[in-house]
Amino acid sequence: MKKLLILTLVVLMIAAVAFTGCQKEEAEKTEAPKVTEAPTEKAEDPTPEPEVKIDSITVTSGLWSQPLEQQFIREEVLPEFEAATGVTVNLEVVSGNDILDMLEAQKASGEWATDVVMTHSGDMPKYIGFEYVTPLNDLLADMDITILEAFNGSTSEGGNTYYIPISADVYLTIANNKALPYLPAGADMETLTWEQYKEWAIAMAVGEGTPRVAFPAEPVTAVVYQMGGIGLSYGAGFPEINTDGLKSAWGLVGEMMAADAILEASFNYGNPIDMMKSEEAWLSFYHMVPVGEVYSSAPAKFTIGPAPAGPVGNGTIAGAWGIGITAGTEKKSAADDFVKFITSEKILYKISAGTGGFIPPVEEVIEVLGNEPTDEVIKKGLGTLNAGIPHGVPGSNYQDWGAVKTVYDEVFQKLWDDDGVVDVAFLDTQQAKLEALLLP
Amino acid sequence: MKNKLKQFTPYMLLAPALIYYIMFWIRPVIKAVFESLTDLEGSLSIANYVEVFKEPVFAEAFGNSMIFAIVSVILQFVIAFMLALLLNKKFKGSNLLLFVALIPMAVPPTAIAVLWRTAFSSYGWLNNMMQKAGLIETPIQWLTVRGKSALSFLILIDTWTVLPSVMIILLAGLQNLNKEYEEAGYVFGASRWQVIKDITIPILKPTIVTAIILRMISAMQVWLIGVMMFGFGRVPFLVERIAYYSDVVPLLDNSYKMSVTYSVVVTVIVLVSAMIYLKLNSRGRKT
Repeated sequence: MKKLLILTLVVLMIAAVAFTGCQKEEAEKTEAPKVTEAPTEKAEDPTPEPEVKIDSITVTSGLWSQPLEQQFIREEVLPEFEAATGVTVNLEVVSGNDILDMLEAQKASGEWATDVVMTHSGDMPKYIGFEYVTPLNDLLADMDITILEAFNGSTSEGGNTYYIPISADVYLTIANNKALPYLPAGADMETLTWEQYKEWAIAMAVGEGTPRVAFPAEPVTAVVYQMGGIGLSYGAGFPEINTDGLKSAWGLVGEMMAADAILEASFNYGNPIDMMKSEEAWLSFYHMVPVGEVYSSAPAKFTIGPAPAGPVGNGTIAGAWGIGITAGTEKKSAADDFVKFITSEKILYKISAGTGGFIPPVEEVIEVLGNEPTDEVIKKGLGTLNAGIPHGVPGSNYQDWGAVKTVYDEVFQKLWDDDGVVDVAFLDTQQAKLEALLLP
Repeated sequence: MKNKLKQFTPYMLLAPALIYYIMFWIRPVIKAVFESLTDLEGSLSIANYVEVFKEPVFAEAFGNSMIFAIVSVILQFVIAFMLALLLNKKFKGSNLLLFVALIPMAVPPTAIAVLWRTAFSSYGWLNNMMQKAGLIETPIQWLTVRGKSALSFLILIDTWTVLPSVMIILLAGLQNLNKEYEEAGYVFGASRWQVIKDITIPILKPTIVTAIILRMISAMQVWLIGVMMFGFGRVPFLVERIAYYSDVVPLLDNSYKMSVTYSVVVTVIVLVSAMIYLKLNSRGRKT
């Protein structure tokens, strides 16, 4: 009997192991298929489905990752939609990679828990390619908005529009007013060039006896974007490491390092907010939202300007967040309503101003900008976007964007360790690493 | 029949735990080992291990993990033992001191990193206090330290954090100690140091071994504080590499393989370290 019991236990264990292995196989994720036509969901059913009252929708967003942004959206924006439609919004804020995994699982299982999705322009081609989102052509035809065309390459595919951009961002210059006396003769923030930026940084270091430039270089954060912006100004593409444009960019940053003009503490920060607010740093070139946060905290203390210019113009990395509707949602009408609500002039302005000063990529909203500090930041950003050389983040062309960032981080760190001397052989090695990351 | 049912009972009671253990522990571990031993095409291969050992950062991560484990465990044991001895003596305020000493144990690692990052930033409270005390004129750039200095920083922070957990194990051991042994030592003229060395520590040895093994395992697993203080890759640890491949660059072709291979390597190192320690300990007991 004892043997029988042991045998039963063993069988139970084997069954447990076997059944835990009975998960759905992961969907192949080797290459994003090209979308040629709109998914034909529910097209075969000739009988109209009865109207079902929708109580709630789920919005999965990579946007609004900062707690204060989330609080603003939950308290100031979503209640308006809920009051107007009676539909509750379940907002889930998760990181970009996790959204991709979530939608992959939802598509594989056929159980679509997400109705509306918000993703970064760099990731949009993946979502479109994997058919996680549905075309918004009909919805757009029904809406009276004019969308900036800068991000069409990411939001559209095969003649269909899958995303409506709701916030765009570029890189701006911010200076503490204490830095202004050190501006090189004839230079001003509106027409600043990178050469003048460098001279300015060095003049401050000499005059103050301490570096005053924040160049946030926390690993895997933003070196790639700052260097990318400078490189674009010098005629480079993005991302590149060893081209002439980038060599000029590394050289420029190296000269600032050699003159001890960049704060070493930059290596410990992912943005310049703390360094600028504490006045440890007086000058930075960074993403417009942190710049907006610093500027809005004390507009009388800071001056903002567009991205500095190089020989070919004002280069900046530009990104956008867009809103889309999942391909399998069963709450399409409520999702449509939500997209219309979010992209309405009043709400889009409210979100842009309330979440730190993103650019609302809809012409009608831009026209109502006022003179608040966040409006100033948005105007500067818009100026850079329209008149500069914006370049998107081609994240979907690479195996892993974090690895691309690491390649840039390593060059920046080596440049620092070598006192600003550009090691061309090392640039070549890193360029090879970068190219190895490219998807076929 | 009743008798037979009685015979089954222990097995029936064990079954849920056993099944849970198999499903959620043994199976993932076996899967991880299997994944680490297969290449991207699924063929049996040690390529992942070769890749891990060839990584330029592996040697540094291994060195840092070992130094961290050895130095922090020794430091934490010595300080925790002294504190436990002190708190074992009932004196006025000892309960308050115990309460204060236990506070770091209640703080989660993320909050600890934020706390110390705030302290060590250029305009943090540490520089502020030192400036106000006239000890320094300009802020010290604590967080720009690299290499072994950064590692020392992390050891100190970790010591502050985990000291209470080591201390509480030792204190529990001390409180169960029969006082008569120590009193006998004093009666025979032993000094305080001799009593600790020849009576207290030998009797406490099982408790000490437990405390050290537990600490050694968690010291080998340190990574979060390092990343939060200095960022990924600045002070690499073996477990940090697992987090790097699974969180920072999760989409590389070999990210998953690299993270499971690092996991297996860490498990083996922890097992071997624990076995060496136990072996040395048992050898010490025999001599």
